[in-house]
Amino acid sequence: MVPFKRQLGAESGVQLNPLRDNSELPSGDNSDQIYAIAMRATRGRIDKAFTVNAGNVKMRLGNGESIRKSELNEAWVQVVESLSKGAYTAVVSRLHTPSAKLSWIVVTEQMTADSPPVPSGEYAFTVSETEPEAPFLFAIKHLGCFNDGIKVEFHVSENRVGGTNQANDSVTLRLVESGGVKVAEYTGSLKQGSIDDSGNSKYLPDVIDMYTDEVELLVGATNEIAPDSIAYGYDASGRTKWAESELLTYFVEGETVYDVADARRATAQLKNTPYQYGYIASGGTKSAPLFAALADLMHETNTQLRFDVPGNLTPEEAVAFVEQMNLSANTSAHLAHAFWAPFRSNDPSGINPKYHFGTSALNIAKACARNAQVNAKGFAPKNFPVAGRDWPVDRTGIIQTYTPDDQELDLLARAKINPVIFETYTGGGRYVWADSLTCAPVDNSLKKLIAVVDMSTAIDTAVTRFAKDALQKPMKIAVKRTNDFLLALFEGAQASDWIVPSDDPAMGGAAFRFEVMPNEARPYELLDVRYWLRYDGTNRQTHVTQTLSR
Amino acid sequence: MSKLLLVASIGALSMEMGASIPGIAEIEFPAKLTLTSHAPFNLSLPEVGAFIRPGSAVAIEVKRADDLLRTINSVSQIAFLNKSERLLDIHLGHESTAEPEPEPEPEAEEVAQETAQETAEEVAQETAEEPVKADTKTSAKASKSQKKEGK
Repeated sequence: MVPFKRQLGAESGVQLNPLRDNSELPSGDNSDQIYAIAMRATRGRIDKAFTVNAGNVKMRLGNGESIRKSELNEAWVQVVESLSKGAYTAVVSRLHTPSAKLSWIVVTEQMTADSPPVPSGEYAFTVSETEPEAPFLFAIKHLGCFNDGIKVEFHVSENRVGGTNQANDSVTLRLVESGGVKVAEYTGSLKQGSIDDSGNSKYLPDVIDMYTDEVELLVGATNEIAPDSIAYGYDASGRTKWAESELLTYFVEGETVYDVADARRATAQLKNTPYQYGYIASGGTKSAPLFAALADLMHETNTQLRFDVPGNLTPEEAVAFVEQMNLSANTSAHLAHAFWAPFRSNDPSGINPKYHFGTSALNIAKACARNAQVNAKGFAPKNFPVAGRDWPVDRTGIIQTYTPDDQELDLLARAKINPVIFETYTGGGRYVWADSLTCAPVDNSLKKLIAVVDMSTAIDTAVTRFAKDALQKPMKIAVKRTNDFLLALFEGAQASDWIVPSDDPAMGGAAFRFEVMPNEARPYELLDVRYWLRYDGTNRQTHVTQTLSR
Repeated sequence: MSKLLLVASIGALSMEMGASIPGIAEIEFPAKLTLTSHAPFNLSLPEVGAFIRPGSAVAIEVKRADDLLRTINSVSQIAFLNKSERLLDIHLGHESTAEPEPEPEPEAEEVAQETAQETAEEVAQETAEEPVKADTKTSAKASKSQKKEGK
């Protein structure tokens, strides 16, 4: 008997109110160690974006195909490389056309020739484009969409009653990929309404639903498997008996010529995904429709897009490649960063010959690795761009195929293209990202620097995330909390050398300034938050002069 | 260019048509094509390895239909972004390998008349040359006799 109540009426007593928490502090996440990409793959869902990491990339995206077969396969190489070079996770939207077809895998009991026919204990595994009609044992739809097919295996546990085996409804279902590695395994009952000891449903479709949305299962009318089934119990040697299918081709990729609609569909999946990401990679795409769709996604999500200019182009051709996309007309052109790597290298994944592999995803991976190193204030060293001596391109067998002269370097810089070339530094030469320019059509502005944009997008993300939390709070409370948050945020940014004192008279010598107040025209519901920041720049050029003095 | 078959003109409106652009389906691959740019800027089409300056044309060989379709999709998008109604023309064949049109065969009477005129002119020329030749021979004889006398 507790000495209080949660809610008193008119009676005498003690009311204990719910605990109030004023101790919560804004916390960051690791979205700046994650990037998004739209790519062609030989495995992967086509209904929504999904994540891959270094541990499951080949299981989820496939084992890769040769560049010789299609240049679209370059993206897979870039993803595999980036996940081992610093990217925590990649959010992938798999490109596909309407000609892609996902079918059901149908398992049916084979019947004897007797009259009436009875189950023979053996099974047929077929593929059906439409939802199967009875009779069937069960049907599986694997949304992972493996081009190389999948094997289905199932086993029925022994059910001993009175010393003899009886029919059983408990089935273990296994999906195995073409290389023999288990993809998934689920155990459940074929009977609707069956529950386990904890009172949870153990009906097999419900069990699968609890674990994943990548597998759909339909169960037919049969809800028990007889002991004479090839999948029942154990064999004479004591090994588990499995009914196994051949490798079933249940997904046909179809065409790989992606038009505007296909590109838009892929980027819409990236926009609507619940996964957060801090960068977008082009993955070496040469497709203008995909590039345009990524540029729109970049603007809508305020996320940096790092893209490759094909390395086999000359500087003049590289400039044309960028300029024809009319990026300067994009409001968020500063979020686009172009990299031209005129060298061939060994395939980081090992399956291809030497090729002009792009470096956009590798650059992002190194940025992700940098972002993981936060200081005591929670700020990563984003004021250090991934360019220059400290960020070598760590690939093997690099052969530079074009060495731009001074005029061509000037041409590339004016076109806002960052060359990835061999440079000499103290301690030796290395291949580096030689510059860090954004595609913003400006000349003397902080907006032209990748480091500034990196920091700026991080600040915007932090502020908007807090502003979302402050929604639906009383206006006075929202103003106070936002003020406190911004002060702590910008003081931390200054302590981390992201921002430096400004010489703008409006800033009064400070590195930051902000205003939080209800909107004048709509003060009851609209809160205005404005902030001014002076970011630190990047030393791109140094003029050195020696004078001989007497 | 008038000697080559125009297969397609790609512009901003082509973006939604893709492979259904009339003329594309009939091409057999590998195909020799000539791309003519109407863009006011350089066009870089790495999918088929083409770089075209404003108003110029390049001859390429496309091995697979997919490569051409991807290029068409890209050009359509570029045209859309730059608000160009006609960015690129695709002609079948290469200008240098196109067979010259045979000269039209003249009518038989015209041939006879021309032949007769030529014959008359030749005869007149020969007739005019004969007295010259005769004078030449005479003067040659005279100079020889003079030389003999000079000895």
